[in-house]
Amino acid sequence: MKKLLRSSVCALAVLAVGPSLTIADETCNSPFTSALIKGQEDFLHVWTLGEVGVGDESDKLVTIDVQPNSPTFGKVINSVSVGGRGEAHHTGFTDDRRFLWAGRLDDNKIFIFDLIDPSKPKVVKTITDFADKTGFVGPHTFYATAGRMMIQALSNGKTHDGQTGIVVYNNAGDLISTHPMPLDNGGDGYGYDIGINPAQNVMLTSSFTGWTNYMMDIGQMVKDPEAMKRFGSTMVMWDFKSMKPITTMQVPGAPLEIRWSLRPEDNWAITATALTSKLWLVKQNEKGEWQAKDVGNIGDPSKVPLPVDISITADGKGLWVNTFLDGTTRYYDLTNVEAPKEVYSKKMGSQVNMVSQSFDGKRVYFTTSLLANWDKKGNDNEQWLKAYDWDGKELVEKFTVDFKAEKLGRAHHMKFSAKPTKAAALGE
Amino acid sequence: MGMGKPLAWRSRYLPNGYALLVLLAFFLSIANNQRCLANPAYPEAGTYKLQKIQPAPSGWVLQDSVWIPRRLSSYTKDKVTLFSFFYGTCRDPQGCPKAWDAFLAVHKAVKMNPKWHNKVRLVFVSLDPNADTPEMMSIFQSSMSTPEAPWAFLTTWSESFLTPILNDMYVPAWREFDDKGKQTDVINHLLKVFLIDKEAWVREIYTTNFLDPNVVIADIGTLLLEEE
Repeated sequence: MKKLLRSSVCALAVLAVGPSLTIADETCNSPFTSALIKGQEDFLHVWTLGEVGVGDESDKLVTIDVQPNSPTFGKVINSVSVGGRGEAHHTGFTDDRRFLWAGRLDDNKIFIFDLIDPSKPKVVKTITDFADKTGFVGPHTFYATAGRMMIQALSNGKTHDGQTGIVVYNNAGDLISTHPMPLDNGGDGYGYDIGINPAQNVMLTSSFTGWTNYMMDIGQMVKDPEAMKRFGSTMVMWDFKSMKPITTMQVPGAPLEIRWSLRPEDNWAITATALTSKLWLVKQNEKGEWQAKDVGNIGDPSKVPLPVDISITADGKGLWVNTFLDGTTRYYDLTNVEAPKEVYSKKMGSQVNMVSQSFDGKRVYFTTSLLANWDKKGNDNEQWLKAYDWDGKELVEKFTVDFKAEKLGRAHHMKFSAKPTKAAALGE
Repeated sequence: MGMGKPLAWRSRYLPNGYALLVLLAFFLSIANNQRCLANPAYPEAGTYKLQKIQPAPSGWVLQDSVWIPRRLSSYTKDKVTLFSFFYGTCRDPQGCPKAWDAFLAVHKAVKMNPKWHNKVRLVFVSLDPNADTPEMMSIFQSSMSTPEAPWAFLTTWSESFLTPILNDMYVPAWREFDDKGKQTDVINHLLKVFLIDKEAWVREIYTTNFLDPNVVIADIGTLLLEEE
């Protein structure tokens, strides 16, 4: 990859990319990713699942122009098919924001894209031995730390249940270490997301389900009582430096995305549980012990709206929560994080999964796909990206990209990037 | 200090005043280091393991005014090494000055601990070989390095020798343009500090927002305890 890195640098000797090139969902990045751009993003990259009968049927990274002043605003400007369908899911930038790692939950392939020209991402390396080398499968969360990429897996290659672990690679894509999720002291072995609070030297993880469930048809799964028992119900607080669990907290119903408040004076994280439809707050008590607390419902839990992605505002005062089954996004006022209050909701379509907002919170983007076998069927299987402006009261639609009409596939994880600043790489 | 000036001009006239200014800046920063307090959230030295992240960089560098090329690897093995990049005119408070602060704190800690004497070295490699000549590096080194805590200031023949080292360490560095499209002497770079064991493996990396000298000192202690 270093050779490729060098050749890419040579190709763009003058209009090279400064350190502040690539930007993700700005409020939900790893704190180790370098400088945030707090203005207008230029491109949106959508990690897209190939779909039978749609275009080339391959998983792909789709790039959309989101710069309002651009003549191609709201249009697909690039698409990189990676071959096959392996359950494309999440992506994450390296700490220098130069490379985007994109994983597949079924065949465990990890594609590393070079974004030196963010309008034309290029695959520079593919990791194909993730399962063989680690024993884990389902590389889900890609979370940058200094010079490394931490990956939370969802399952394992032997039993395909939820017992799994965390894998650490260096930025060159070489395996460094593996860390099983705890099975003692209340641990259930499941994994899902990672959130690090470096000031406190803590890492929080959540828990979902194993390969057997996430690759099963959702209709079949919900009718299988045994399958429905195989979901995680814990969050683990780790000593990040030593990678040792500190405490395991019981959080029933599959706690998913983890969002630490970005305000320096705050010291809490929030998550949503998929099956029980609740918001949980994780913070320290008076003794300094980490605890998880149910702080409210999301919609009507009896209707199982299935909360999925969440996105916290930069000031820690607001939270977008998508509920997949009713296709609705909800905005919560977190002014009192002990009692979040839903202040806005909007029906986005038949289904909605991911949400990404700009750092200033003025632009919010939504996509549809959850998992290939969990997405709705027939006409309810809408697949789109929708871009909105948010003024604090109302979402105003700016454009929609219909991923079926564009013959792209199922729209999943989103990351932002910006045009290169005018600079010259050293040595050129 | 424009890019177009001949190297000989720079070598002859700039080092003394330039180096003195830089040294003044980081001596002023020493006061800040006195206020560093241990972060109780981090574990004690020796109670955790630092993984082998990647090999230390290779390449050719210059250390002193004789302009003799030396292998960079000779500065990254046989001792625990704290390694980073800097350049003399860097003024970004989140960049080189922050690295200086951390290195000064670590240097002081090593000097104060007789058990660590001559087991730890510090290494700065210049991002600006045009301006940071070997003569300049000699001034820095003679001012900062001590026998019990050696501190090497290295530069390279040119940016073409520097770039492979930066690529090895995944440190992006770019020279800014001004409004007229001319290159300036501002080099944007992602601050990374590398802790390297005596077998020349990078064992920890610290970035801008997480460069806590106390954590670095604990990590050095962990590596030295590991050797025992």
